[in-house]
Amino acid sequence: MSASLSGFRTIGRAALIVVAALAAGCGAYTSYKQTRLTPRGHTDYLFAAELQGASTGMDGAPMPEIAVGARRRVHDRIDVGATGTILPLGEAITSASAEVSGKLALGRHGRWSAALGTGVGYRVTTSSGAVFEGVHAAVPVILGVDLGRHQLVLSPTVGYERLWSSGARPVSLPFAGYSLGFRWQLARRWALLPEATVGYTPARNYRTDSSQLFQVGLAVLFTR
Amino acid sequence: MRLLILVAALALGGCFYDNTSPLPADFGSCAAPEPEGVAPAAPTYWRDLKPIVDAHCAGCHIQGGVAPFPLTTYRELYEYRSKSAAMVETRAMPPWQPAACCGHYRGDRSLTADQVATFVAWYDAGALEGDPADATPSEPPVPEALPRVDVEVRMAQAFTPEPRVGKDELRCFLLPQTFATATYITGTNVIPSNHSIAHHAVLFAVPADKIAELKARDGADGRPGWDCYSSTDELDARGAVGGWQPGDGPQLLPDGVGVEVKAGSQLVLNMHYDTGAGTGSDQTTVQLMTSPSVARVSRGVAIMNPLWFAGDGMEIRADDPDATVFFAYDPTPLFSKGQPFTVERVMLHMHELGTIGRLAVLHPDGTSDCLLNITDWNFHWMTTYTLAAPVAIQPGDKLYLECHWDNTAGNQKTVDGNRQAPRTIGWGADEEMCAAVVSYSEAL
Repeated sequence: MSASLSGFRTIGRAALIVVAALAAGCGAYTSYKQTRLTPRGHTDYLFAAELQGASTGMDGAPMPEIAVGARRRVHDRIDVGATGTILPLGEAITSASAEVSGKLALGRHGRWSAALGTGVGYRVTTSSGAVFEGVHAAVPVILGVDLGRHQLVLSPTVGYERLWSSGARPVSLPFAGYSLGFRWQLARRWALLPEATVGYTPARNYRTDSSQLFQVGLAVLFTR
Repeated sequence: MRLLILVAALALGGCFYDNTSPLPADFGSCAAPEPEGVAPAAPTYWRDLKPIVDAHCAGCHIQGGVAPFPLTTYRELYEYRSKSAAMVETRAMPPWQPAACCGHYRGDRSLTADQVATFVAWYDAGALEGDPADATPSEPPVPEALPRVDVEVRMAQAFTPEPRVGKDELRCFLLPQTFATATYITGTNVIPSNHSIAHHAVLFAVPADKIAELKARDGADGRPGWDCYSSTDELDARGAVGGWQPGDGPQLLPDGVGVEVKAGSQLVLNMHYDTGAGTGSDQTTVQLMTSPSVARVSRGVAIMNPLWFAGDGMEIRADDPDATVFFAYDPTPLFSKGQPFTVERVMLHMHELGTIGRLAVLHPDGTSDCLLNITDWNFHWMTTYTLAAPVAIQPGDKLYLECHWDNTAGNQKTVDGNRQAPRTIGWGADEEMCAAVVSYSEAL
């Protein structure tokens, strides 16, 4: 960067916007995955708190957000859902997203089961009057192993995200990653779903040739 | 399903590129002013030229100045009369990039239309010396310098850049200057000894608890200093206290304003060398003007679109004659807790392909204030401009930055005598950048 920067003391705050723009879009990987489908005639309701961030070569703290969602079975082997997230930090940074997703049960072998997911979503992040938008599509392969009533979930994911804002060229971010999650069945209708996701995009950033992305979250699932 | 198709189509499409500038077509510019008077029929050096040259040229064109030759006598000016007249007529000299009709700045080196006409008429009439008795009494020219130098330090050794990759090397150097007590820097003058390889410099005041770590790095690879790819690798950008870029001279903060340096801090110089432009070694000197106390402390606000860093967010395609990006945001929630502040200094940064740079305040009612409008960008003459009258930023206003580049064959830089071919580039030290910093001050 340039010189004569005697007042260039607060760039760290601006860097937060970078993380907001990047990480906010990349975090929504069709979250809280499990191979179990929503029971026929019932609806799963999800409430989650999560933290997401990106290593972009700049400063910037991970960002918290809350998520709500619902899923419903539409076919013997398919359920669909919708999830919304929001990060309400006032004028400095506010971010919201909506994602629709579907899941196809592939099969079961003993304690092991597999499903194929897909999700597409939109996210808008505003920071001090600047607007950043993005759409993404993700395809997770969901592998589950039952542990009694509970399930351990590993889910490799590939996806694509496109970000844009006025005055910049649209940014394409193919990404790949995996999630490790757990379905902890608390009661017949209640489950806890902790999940950690790490991702990688080969798109360069401020001083890096690629970026690592992460999301950790804890969801409460209520089936009604 | 329709929604899925729509979202997928939008995702894969290229329909998000909005590069329509919100600025009015006549933003910060006006027709070149016509001379108001009539140039003297036979201008002479003593009567007509000397006052112009002394006031606008000799600050740099003086023995020991940064310019390559002095222009302090008739003989010196006569020797360069043709070149000087051509440079003045095209306004390449004196170097002053802001377009007329945008704003007023302290230290304006530009010539009026009448002065240009007089200079050209003097050359056309035979570059006459005239009679020394006709000379208008004036102060003798002095080199541009800080009014007072309280600290002067130099890199301990000359350094010859040897980039491992490409042509650029960024190197940090501990300077032998520690501040025993809290201090405020009120002026800086960074003086590279080899301008042909100096791309830019950033000066840091590093807190006491970081110095031991940096001393361990210093010289560890057998060369002075240490690899320091960017100012924020090992150094907190919030500790930047000054710097230099091509075109900069001494930087003086407004009266009563200073940059805070905590007790125990030591100076570190981050030099960016570009060996594509020159060769040899450099041993930069740093001069500081300091004060134990100030009324107001200087702060800075950066203007950059975060998407420019990511992927192809600032892609400048090969052969594009006018690649354009812009960004606007309200800085008050992030930087001043939602309170108004006044901009005192502005700085804009692009590299060699830049053509137009604009910096403005956009008001909610659609009007704008021009902070800086450069319509003929010259990488070698970017500098920090101090506004003659500070400009207020109210909550709801947006700081706006716009950059244009010409990436066609005719605007490529020449390396080793060869004109480079256009290539698609993005954000990078050896590619392009679009950034601005506006400075304001807060009462302590």
